[in-house]
Amino acid sequence: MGDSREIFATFIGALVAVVLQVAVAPNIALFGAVPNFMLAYCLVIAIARPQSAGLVMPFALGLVFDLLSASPVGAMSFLLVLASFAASRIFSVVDNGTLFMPLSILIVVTLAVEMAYGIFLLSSGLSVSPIEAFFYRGLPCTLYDAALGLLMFPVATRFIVGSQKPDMPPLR
Amino acid sequence: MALNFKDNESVPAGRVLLVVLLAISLVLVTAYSREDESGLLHGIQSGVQDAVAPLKLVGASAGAAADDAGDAIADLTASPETLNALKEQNAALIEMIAQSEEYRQEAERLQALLDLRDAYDIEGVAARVIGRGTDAWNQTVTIDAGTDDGVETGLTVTGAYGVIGQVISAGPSSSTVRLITDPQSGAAAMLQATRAEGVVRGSLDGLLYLENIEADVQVATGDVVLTSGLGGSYTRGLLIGLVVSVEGNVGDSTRRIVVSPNETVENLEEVIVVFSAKAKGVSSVSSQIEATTEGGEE
Repeated sequence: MGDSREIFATFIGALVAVVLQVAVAPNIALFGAVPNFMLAYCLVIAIARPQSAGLVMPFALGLVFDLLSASPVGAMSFLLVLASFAASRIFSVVDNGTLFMPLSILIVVTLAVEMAYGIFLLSSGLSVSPIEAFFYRGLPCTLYDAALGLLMFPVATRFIVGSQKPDMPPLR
Repeated sequence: MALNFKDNESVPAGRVLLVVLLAISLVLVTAYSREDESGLLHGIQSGVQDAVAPLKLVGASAGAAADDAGDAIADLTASPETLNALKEQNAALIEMIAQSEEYRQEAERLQALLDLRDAYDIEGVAARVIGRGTDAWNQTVTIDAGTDDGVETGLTVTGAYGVIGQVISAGPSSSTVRLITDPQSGAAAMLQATRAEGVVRGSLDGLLYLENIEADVQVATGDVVLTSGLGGSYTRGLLIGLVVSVEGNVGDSTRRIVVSPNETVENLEEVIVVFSAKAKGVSSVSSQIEATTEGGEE
């Protein structure tokens, strides 16, 4: 019962992330940085449910992201699967019950994904310097996505994780 | 286990799934990179973008409404007494003025498009911009004209003052346009005054750079840059923009020549997808841009 509720809530959350990415993200871009709701959502789920977060949802969301963009199909699905796996495993090891760890993991993994995605694009013909890619896209997008993740985290722990993990890490 | 959002597999099974999904992703990337624009994955991508185009339109409308709401909130904080007194009397009038202003601006933009079409004798289809790119790495817009209107991949797209991009995928009722300011865009270009040829490239900072110009070519601020049509990627003779800055001197092979883009993505509302054009009115359009630029600077 609890499992099916959790799966349903995760699925609904994923749908909301897709809708937000299509309808909202392009309209709240700041200085060329378009937030990635799907990345933030995948990482939040991976951190909020480190023991049971699946990999199919990140793969599906990554595929949707690729199909919505003008970039190679498969690039973001690859990165979201890898990032979700890494985030959940790292969090399992370093979790100390504070909000610092989830936030740190969120920022580090988001930056890694944004830069790896940039490298994917550079290798497929994007003609910009890595430094330019870092300062104009990687860094601002990371901050934006991490802020979104921080907003999503309490919602995810409240509605998706539910009774399995009742205590949200304290703000300390 | 379609869309299994929770896997309780054992650790080895989880790792097998990880490897399988990564392998599928890499196969997809490889297949996508190797196929041409008529390939299966490109087709699916185009179909998905066509399917979600209405959702983008809803999002854009909501975004505009949010801006209006923000303005309203700002107004309310100005002076509550005055606003309350005038609110009822002026509500209808304000709405009419806003609507009239909207129509006036739209008429101006459409007139500019018509002028451009006349100036270049453009054959093409007009379209509205109904959405913007969903990711940070691609500067694209979605327009409400597709293959049903004759739009094909590779066609040049112009705004009111000249080239703004190229169609990269076309569905039945909508198309995706990669803006010329995107780093992945490259338009064969020439300087109108000297006929020197080069390539205009976009960048992540939103500027256009004119590259591959011979070192001995004289380039000055205000020079008009046109599409040269070389390679067949862009229709020949359309205005790209004006040179706004030249860093370096003649003879310097590392000169940085910055070209002003015609329009920014935020201001794009109506465009023309060019089927064919004859360059005959560049000077009138470029002088119009100069006038606009000077007006903006004043």
